[in-house]
Formats: sequence, structure tokens, C-alpha cells
Amino acid sequence: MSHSCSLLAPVDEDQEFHLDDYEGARARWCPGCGDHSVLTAAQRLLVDEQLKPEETVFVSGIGCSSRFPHYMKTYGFHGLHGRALPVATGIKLHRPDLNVFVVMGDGDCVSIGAGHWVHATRYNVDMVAMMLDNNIYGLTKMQTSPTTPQGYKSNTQPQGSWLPALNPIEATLGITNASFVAQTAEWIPAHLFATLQAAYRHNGFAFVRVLQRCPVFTADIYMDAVRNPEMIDMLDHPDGVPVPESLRQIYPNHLRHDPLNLSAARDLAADTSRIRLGVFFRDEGLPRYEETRHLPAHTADDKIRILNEELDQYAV
Amino acid sequence: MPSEKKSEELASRALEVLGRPREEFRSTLIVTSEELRSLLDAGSATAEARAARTAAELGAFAVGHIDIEKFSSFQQKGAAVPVSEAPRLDAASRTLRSLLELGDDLYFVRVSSGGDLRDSVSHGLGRAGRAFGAARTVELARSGKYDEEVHGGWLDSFPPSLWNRREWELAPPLIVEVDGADLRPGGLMEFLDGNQKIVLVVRGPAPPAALARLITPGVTVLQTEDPAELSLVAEAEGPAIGALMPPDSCRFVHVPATGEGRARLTVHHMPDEEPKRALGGISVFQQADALRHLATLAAGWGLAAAGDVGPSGDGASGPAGAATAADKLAAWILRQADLQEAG
Amino acid sequence: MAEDTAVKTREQTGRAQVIRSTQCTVEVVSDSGEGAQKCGQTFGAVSAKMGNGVWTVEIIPAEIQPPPRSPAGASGNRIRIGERVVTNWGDRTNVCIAFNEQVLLARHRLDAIEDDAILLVENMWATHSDEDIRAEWTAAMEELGGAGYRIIEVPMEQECLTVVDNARKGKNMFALGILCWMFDRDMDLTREQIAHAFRKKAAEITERNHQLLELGYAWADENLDVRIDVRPGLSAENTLVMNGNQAAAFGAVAAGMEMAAMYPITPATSVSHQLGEIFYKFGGIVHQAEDEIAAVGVAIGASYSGKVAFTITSGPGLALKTEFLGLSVMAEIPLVVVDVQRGGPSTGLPTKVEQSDLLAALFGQPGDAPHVVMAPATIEECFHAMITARRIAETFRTLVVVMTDANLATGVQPFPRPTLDPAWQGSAPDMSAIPEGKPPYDWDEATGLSRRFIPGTPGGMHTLTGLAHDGNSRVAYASAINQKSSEMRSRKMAVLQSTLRPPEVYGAESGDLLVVGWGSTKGAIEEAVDRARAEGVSVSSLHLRFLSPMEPGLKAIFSRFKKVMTVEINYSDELDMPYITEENRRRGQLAWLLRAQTLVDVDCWTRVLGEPLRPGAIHDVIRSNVSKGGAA
Ligand SMILES: Cc1ncc(C[n+]2csc(CCOP(=O)(O)OP(=O)(O)O)c2C)c(N)n1
Ligand SMILES: [Mg+2]
Repeated sequence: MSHSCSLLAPVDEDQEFHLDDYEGARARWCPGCGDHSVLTAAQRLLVDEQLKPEETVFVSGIGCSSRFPHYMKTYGFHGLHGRALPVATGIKLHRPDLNVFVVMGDGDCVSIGAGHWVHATRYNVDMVAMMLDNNIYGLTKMQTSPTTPQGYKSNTQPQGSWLPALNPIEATLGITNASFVAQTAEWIPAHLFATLQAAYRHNGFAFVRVLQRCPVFTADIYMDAVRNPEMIDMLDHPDGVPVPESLRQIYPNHLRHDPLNLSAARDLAADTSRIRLGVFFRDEGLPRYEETRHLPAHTADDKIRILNEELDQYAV
Repeated sequence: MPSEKKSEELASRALEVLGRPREEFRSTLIVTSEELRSLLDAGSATAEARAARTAAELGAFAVGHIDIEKFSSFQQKGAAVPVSEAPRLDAASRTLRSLLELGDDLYFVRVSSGGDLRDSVSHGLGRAGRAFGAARTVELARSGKYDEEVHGGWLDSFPPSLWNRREWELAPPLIVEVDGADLRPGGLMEFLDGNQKIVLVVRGPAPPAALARLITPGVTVLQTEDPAELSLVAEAEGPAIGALMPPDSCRFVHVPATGEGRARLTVHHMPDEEPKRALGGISVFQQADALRHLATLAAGWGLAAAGDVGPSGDGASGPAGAATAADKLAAWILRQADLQEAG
Repeated sequence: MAEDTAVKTREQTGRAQVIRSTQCTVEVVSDSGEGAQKCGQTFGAVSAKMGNGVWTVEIIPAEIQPPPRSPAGASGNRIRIGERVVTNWGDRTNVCIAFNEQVLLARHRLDAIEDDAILLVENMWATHSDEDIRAEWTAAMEELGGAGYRIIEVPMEQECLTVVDNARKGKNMFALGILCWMFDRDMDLTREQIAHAFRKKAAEITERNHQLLELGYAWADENLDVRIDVRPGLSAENTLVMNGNQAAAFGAVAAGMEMAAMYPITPATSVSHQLGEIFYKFGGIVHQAEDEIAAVGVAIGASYSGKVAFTITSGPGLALKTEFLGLSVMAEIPLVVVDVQRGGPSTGLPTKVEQSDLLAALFGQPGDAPHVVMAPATIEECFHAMITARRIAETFRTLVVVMTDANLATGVQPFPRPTLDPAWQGSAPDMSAIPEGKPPYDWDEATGLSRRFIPGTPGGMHTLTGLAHDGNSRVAYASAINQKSSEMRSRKMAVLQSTLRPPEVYGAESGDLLVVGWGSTKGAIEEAVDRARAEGVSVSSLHLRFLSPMEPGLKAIFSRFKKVMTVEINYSDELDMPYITEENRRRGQLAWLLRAQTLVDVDCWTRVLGEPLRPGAIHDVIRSNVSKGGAA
């Protein structure tokens, strides 16, 4: 698509944006919900990058986490359950000039929207795709999600989840043309921020799984990890997310991992005995669909001329 | 001395390699010009004119099925522009169209022998910059802030000194034909901002390391003999300048720091001959000093040996070429040390 | 030839008898892969260029890889030519040229062939080395022989082998030569057309095809004694020839759209094939998504952020898109959906025509989702409808579903070349700064219309949502707000309806019977009305382009006729069927709508035979309904 931005935009180029320039409606998630922390990190990121609110779009699905765009003062698209990625893809294909962020829940992304997750990863369209993973369906009140730990009880599976949990990082790493795959946790704001920033600066589809506490339905799942930083390995690399200085002491386990090393990334992701945060994989050299399909713009008159030429072939 | 034809051919190769930034600027022109056309259509029209426009927009399927006048009354009117400002918008629209009509010439300037490189570049950018001037004129006119005194000349020239951040990001690429003897790139520093891409096609003997003086942390700088390598300029993030140099000039590329990656200076070739003759007004000392500058920078960066990490993947300078480039560079550094002792 | 209004004279010129007729339907049938399509298309194109009216449809095999020489494998083209404009595929076939007797048998058994038709059939099978094949031939010829056709055996294989090694690849051009002789086609034009059809192949191929063409012509000249004279009565000047899918594709380009998101589905796919060839030249993308849901999602994302986008599909895909279509209505994101209908439900009849998606298109979205549904009636209208659809979508911030069908999609017809107008592309989206305090759904109290806030527009930041929302796009569950926003979305349909003109009646303004149709049946209905009126039957017809909102003035028009009935290609019960009563009868979909809309007792006659309606069949229905009505 050809939408270059028009010059006719009365934007004040010298305006500096502050946190309150990005704050939308008051967030109405439960107290203690991890989504608050992700919202704060995203707003901080926008300040840091000085993104113009009118040139930024947050696209979401349906779920607690998908309320996200309402709490931003950017453009927002709160669409259908599971369908955020096609919408975001359409936006970015038509308007590569916009900054696009996608916020999804675990049910949103890897259950109902799983097909889109696979294909959006493969399209590798430049956007940040966050999956806020609380291991449960929150909005609809505690049904099992694909990432619910095996045996964990829910309203739909009161005897405990029947199946082993799906591993979204491992699965994403298995998709052809995946270009950025990272994991972070909302209770470690410095790491969350650094990961979102790396994702934003990445040229391509940046998939970020954010481990997210739900204080109401899955309060216990991440409890141990929150209390015991020993359980966490930080993936450390200058090309990924270097472990922030403030965290180096608190999180003593650092794993040096070159994000270009896909097979090492897959091994790290497959081993679920440890929680690993950081960038598993990152490659900016992969084709981006919106780039591949980029086309020059045409004037209306030009189009008429070309169309007439095409129609000549059908002329009697 | 390369013939006129040769430099023309090189310039058209450069034009080709700069296809993407060129196309982007053109697309911006088109999108802006179409939007302005819509604005003019919507703004000035009477109800009748609007109905006629609606009839045209609805096309033949509507004939007999839709009451055009009625339909037209429900169309969004679009942003109103004060009637008094219509001529201004017309003029801006004409400016955009005239730039579109210039086609590829918009991205070319030729510095006549003995001419001033900086002035020519400024002129070339100021000409394409009229697009920015036109857009600003529209915005000012729309908001009733247009002031002939201040903004009057913007449709004739809108030089880079007036550009804002966004305009620098959308900057038009420029290809400049210039004699080697006039290659004083120092003055170009002020144009290396935003997303500006400049390519110099150098005619005749030239100071061998002229562009070395432009190396700063954020700018891509390239000297080469191979037009294909200009893709480094075309695809660079941020400002970039490249020169197509005569044979036996320095060949080097400086890639600025991106993300976590470090800046790199890679020298592929050092000239066999030291500068011996003044070129136009450029003295032997000045030519040699630029070479020394390059050598110092390369040393400071830890002397990237050409051929292995060269982002250009320059096949011609295989390992042997790389070795000699490194040797020559080392020699230059030594000589520089000598000079300092002597001085 | 068929008993119709055609002028027919027979005369003898030289050896050959010449039958003069105002129209004639020709079929070319073969196993698939033998090129009958190319033969038929070329014949149609040449006829159009000569100034005949033409309507071509494909005969598509029932199976993808049918065994050779099986009735299920009949594949080819049906070309109806006329002195004047031809608006539909006509009745039964007058001339059929078949590459084996089994495909011919298939057409015979489908009742596709006129009683006095001329049949030309490859006769290599009569003497085939395989005994079974010889037996099949004998049996088939016996069955065909009983029907009274004029059967001519043609040694196609034998003749073609004098020019090519593999006659299977050459018979189609030989057959074309025969048709050219029979219908006295312009041979230079034909050669030109062949060269055009094979322009992407090596030059030898064109040359060989020219040779085969001439061979067929010479053979016919030598061996046939009947020619058919359908005089070209039209000017072919400034005419385009294409099918409805191509027309829709070009229409989308002319409408300035730049994003077509789709997932392949017959019979809609060829719109994207056409666009795939040309769209990029206009800065347009054909995005083949991972499924229909994603396709409409991408289209909505693109539309939301700028120029109106569209998606193309058929019944099963329309079903999948349903939830997103509801979102487009709820959030007032303009969108154009092209539904090229096929037989249904479920996977149904993928390649065959039906008009059974009407109610699904109107009411398929759960919740109240008022939107526009329109239906082009001709191939030409498939082009122009896209332009109007885009304009309406944008002006009314609405979903517009454009309903075509397999008949329009695959029918090929000449139509006047449109004079292109840049205004069709509309204006660039308005992205001027939004005045402070203006809400994203600043509904005009009376019309429900509001300006769209497109990302990138300063001051327009808001979150669009598919949840119930107030004018500020804030999620709102308060009952009064939902009532209000539902009212605003619905009002837009009334406003659009207020701009529509009452439909024109074809024929007299009042009378015994009014036939109402929509979509691709227009040509067949009007031809039937013409025939009936010529016999003095008091019948008129009316064809609807807008199904939602419905065109105004229907009740008044209906009141001037003793009886009103729809003719449609969808299923309806008939009263003489077991258990069927006035009360439980399921009626044609348009009849259903019209009854609800007008409270008039609208009757219907519908068929789902997997083929377009024949004017002759409609003519019969008209006659029986008028006499039933007791008026005639
Ligand atoms: C098509 C459709 N199916 C089901 C639902 C009901 N629904 C809404 S949110 C949701 C799951 C939410 O879980 P998740 O995506 O993990 O988000 P969370 O609320 O946990 O943030 C479901 C099943 C829906 N809105 N739409
Ligand atoms: Mg969840």
C-alpha cells in the first residue's frame, strides 16, 4: 500500500510529550492486577520515545487486558475477541507511518486468535504485539486458557486443567520468519520497560509475552516467582535486553544468550523448569510484509491513465 | 578525466539506487497534493458544484436510482477554508503539481565548474523543499495565520534552514554533480539531518578523502567508485552522504551507531599516490589533512581491516586488497606521527 | 431452432442451407483440459467484435479430475449470440460441438439442448480400439438419435493429426474453425483473437493454432451443408468484453480502493486473480489472508485508518466474516464486501449460481446491524456498483454488501466502455485537525451521520470499540445510551433510503402481473416479459438494486398490479408439495422481504437448479400465473 503521510498535518513539531499526554480514561482493572503495570510501562515508553499520540494506535481484542487502549490517550481499536492482529496488520499495511501496538490476553492470542498469531508472526509486520498472560480467562471469570498450568482448577475444568499448558514462546519460535520473541514479567517494571523498548525499536513483528498476575483468579500461579527471584533466569545480551543495572543484584541468575542463536533460544524456551525473561530471539534481517508490499502512490489522474491502458486489453 | 557522458551515466545509476527515497518523497508529494485537491473541491464549492461533484463520485450505478442532490446534502462538508484564502491554496496546489511535473529532475543539481557546492545543495533542497513551504502555507492559510511578509517566498524556495524535524525526516534525496576541484564538502554538514540522503557524483580529479571531514557519530558517510554501493546511503537510517569518486581515491564507509550496535568505520582502499597537486582552490595540505583525518579516525576506532567486516561486502577488495589497505592506513598513521614530530 | 420470437428464414446459398435467426446459442463441450473453453471464449469475443450481442458462460465440470469421457466431466462454454444486445444465457442450445459423445450425452440428459439442434461430434470413438468405448459410443448415439437432433459426425482427431502430433491439444482450434465457417465469422479478427489469447506463449503455438483454425474452416466448407446467419446489429465501438468478476475488480480500481483482502473461494476468487494482475500498478494490495476472518479484519483495519477497503467472498466466507461485519456496523467503519453467491448452504454448489445469501447478507449479523445491501443486475453494473458502494460506505460510515453471483461472475458480455472519471476515487480522507471537544461519534441528531476520525488526525484520539458506546466512544451499558446509539445507526439507513428513487417498472405501469427480481436475473426476466407482452399478456417487471435500505414506493407500484411475484434463484416451497400450506410455505428470499416490507401478498417462483434461469421457463411461469389470476 502506498499511504505516505501527507504534509498537511498541523502538528506542532516542537511539542514535548509528558506522561499525562498519554493518559486516557482511569484504568478500571482490579487492584493488584498486573495490567496496571504494563500500562504504566507503555506510557513511559511513549514518553521516552516521544511518540505522537495521534500517530500511535493501540489495537486490542476482548478481555480484561484488551481494555488497555481505553486507558491510553492515543488512537485505540478495541475490536473482537482474538482478532486484534488482523486489524493491526490492516492498519500497518495501509498506514506504515503509524506506530502500532497490539495488546492481547492469552485466550485472545493463543486460543481463539491462534491462527492469526501464527500468521502475523510470519508476516513480520512492524508492530509490538504484547500478550498479557495471566494463564486464565479473566473477563469471563475463570475459564481454563491454553496457558493454564496442567491440573490448575477453573470454572470450566474444576477437576483441574486436563492438558499440559501451551508454551507460547516455544511455539512462536517455531514459526517461520519470527523476528523478535521475548518474555518479561509485569512485576519487574524495569525489565518490562526495557523489553517493551527493545520490542518497539525492533524493525518487525515483536512478540512479547508478559507474565501477568491476576489477583482474583490466578493469584497463586506466579506467587513463588515474585517472592523468589532465584527462580528466574535473566537472558542477558547487548543485542537483546541487557539486564538493567537496578536488577543485577536482585536477580542473580544471568544467562548470556545471543538472540541470533535460534536453536539455543528454542532449547531455553522448551525447558519450562525455569522462568526465563529476556529476548529469546531477534533478527532484523528478515523480510517484513509491509515492506515487501510497499508501493508508490499515484495521483487520481495517473490511475485513470493506467486503468485506461488496462481496459484497452478488454476493448472490442 | 571522465567524460560528461560518464558522469551523466553515473548520475543516472545513482538515481536508480536512490529509487526508494525518491519514491517516498514523490509519494508524499502525491498524497499531499491529492489531499489539497480534495480540500479545494470541498472548500470552495457551492451546493450546486457539490452536487455535481457527488454525481461524479457516485458514478453511473446511481443514475436513476439515487437522488443526487439529496445525497449530496448528506456528504461531510470537510474542513472549511476561508474563501479569502482560496488563492493561496490554489498557489500551493500549483506548486505541488509543478514539483511532481519536474519528475526526476527534482532530485538533481549540477554544480558548474568553479561553483559553490554548498550553495548548489542548498538551492536543490530549497527547490524540493517548496513542497514543505506549500504545505505550511496551506496550514497557515487554514488557521488564518498566513502573513505575506513572513511567508511570502515559501512557494518559490523553502531552504533547509527553515525545515522542522518532520520535514527533515521526509527530506528529498539529492544527487549532485560536482567537479573534483570544487569538492569542499565541509559546508554540507548543515544538511545532514533527519533522513537526508545526498549523493555526490564527482567529475575529474578530486581530493582523495574529501568526505572524511563529514564523519560524525550519527551520519553514514561513503566514498566509493561503485554506484551499486550507494545502496548503503539509500538504505541508511538517518542522514547519509555518499560520493562516487574518481579512481584511486579513498574508499571507505562509516556506519553510525544503531540501537545497541557500534559505529564502524571501514576503509577499503587508500590511494597509491599522495596528493601532490592543488586542485582548484584545494591545497595539497588540505587534501593530505583530510587523509590524515581519516587515518586518525580509523585508528581511533580500532582500525577496522577492510574486507572482513565491510558492510558493503566489497568483493573486489578481497583479503589481499584488505591487507594493503590496512598496511597503507598504518603507513599513513606513522607518517602522521612523523608530521607531528616535525611540526 | 427454438420456438421464440426469433426471425427465422431458411434459404439456400450454393450447396449450403442458411438459417437466418435473431439469436442462437452455441455450446462447445469436451473433457476438461481439452480447451473447449478457449474455443468458446474466442468465438464469443470475435462475435462481440463483429457487433453481435454476446453472453458467454462456462460449463464447469462437476468434479475436479473427472475420468475422461464421463458425463460428469463435461466442460466448456455456452455462447449465446444475437443481432442485438444479449442480456442472459438464453434457453436451450441450438448448436453443440462436442469432443466426445459422453459429454454431449451429459448435456442432453441435463435437458440443455433444443429439440432441433445441430450437434457436431468427434467420431474417433466409433472405431476406437477399446471395445468398451465403441460400445459406449453406440449406446450414446442411440440415445441421442432418438431425440430428433441433427447429428453430424466430425473426424476431428484424424484431421488434426495432419497438423499436430497430439490432437488432444488441437481440437479446440479445429472446432473453432468449424464454428467460424458455420457462422461466417471474420477470419482476420479470429486470427487476431487467437494471437491475443496465446500472447504469453511461444509464437509457434499461435501459428499452429492458426493452422488448425483454417483446417477446421476448410473441413466445414467441404463437408457441411448448413450455416447460421445471426447478423451483427450493434456497433462494437467503445465496448469492453469481460465477466462480472473482472468488472468488479476494475470497478474497485476505478473507485480508488487500495486494499482488497480475501481468502480464496469459488466463485469469488477470480476477482482477486484479476486484481492480482493489475492492482499493484495503482498502489493497491491484494492481501490473501490466512482465512476469511482475517481477511475482513485486515480490510477493516485498513479502512479504519484511511481509504475504504474491501473484501471479496462467497457464502461460506460471508458466514465467517459475520462477527467482523457486526463490528464494522457497530463502530461505523466503512467497508465494502463483495459476495459472489454460489449454491448453499454449507459448501453447497461451489461453482453454480444461486441467490440464497440475501437474507444472510441482510440479517446474518447477530444483534441489530443495519447496513447497506445492493445488487448489480448486469456485468456492466458490477463495474459501476463498486464505485457507488465505496461512496455510500464513506458518506454513511457504513458496511455495504455488494451481492453478485456465479452467473454474473462467469458470464462474459460486451458492454459500453465507461469514460473514466477521477472523481470516482473520491476525496482523500479528511485528516484536518479535530476541533477540541468534538466527539468521535458526533451524531447529527436527525441523520445519525458523523465525521470519521482517522488515525494521524490531530486531536482525534479516542478508542473505537465494538462494545456499546456513547458519542465519545466510551463503553456504556446504560440502557438509554444503547437505545440512542442503535437509533443513530439505524437512522442512517432511513436517510439513505430518502435519497433513493422508486424503481422503474419495465413494461406498463399497471397490469395483471408484476414480476420482481434482483441481481443477475434481470436479463432473463425482461426477455420473458417481452415475449409474454408480444403475445398480449399483461405483465411487467421491476428489478431492485437496493435491498437494504429497500427502494421506496414499492407498495404503491404493487397496488397497480393484480398480482405480484418474485422470480429468484433460491429455494421456495410450492403449494402442491406434500405438507406445504399457505401458512408454512417457505418463500423466496426477496418475496419474504417484500411481504414484510409492504404487507402485499407477494408470491414467488424460484428454482435452485444450479444454473441461471431461462427466459423460456420464466415465460411459462408468467403465462400460467396470468391465466391463473384469471385476468388474461
Ligand atoms: C467470539 C467471542 N467468543 C467469546 C467471547 C467471550 N470472551 C470474552 S473475553 C474472553 C476470554 C478472555 O481471556 P483472555 O483473552 O485471556 O483475556 P483476559 O481477560 O484474561 O485478560 C472470552 C472467552 C467473546 N467476547 N467473543
Ligand atoms: Mg487471560
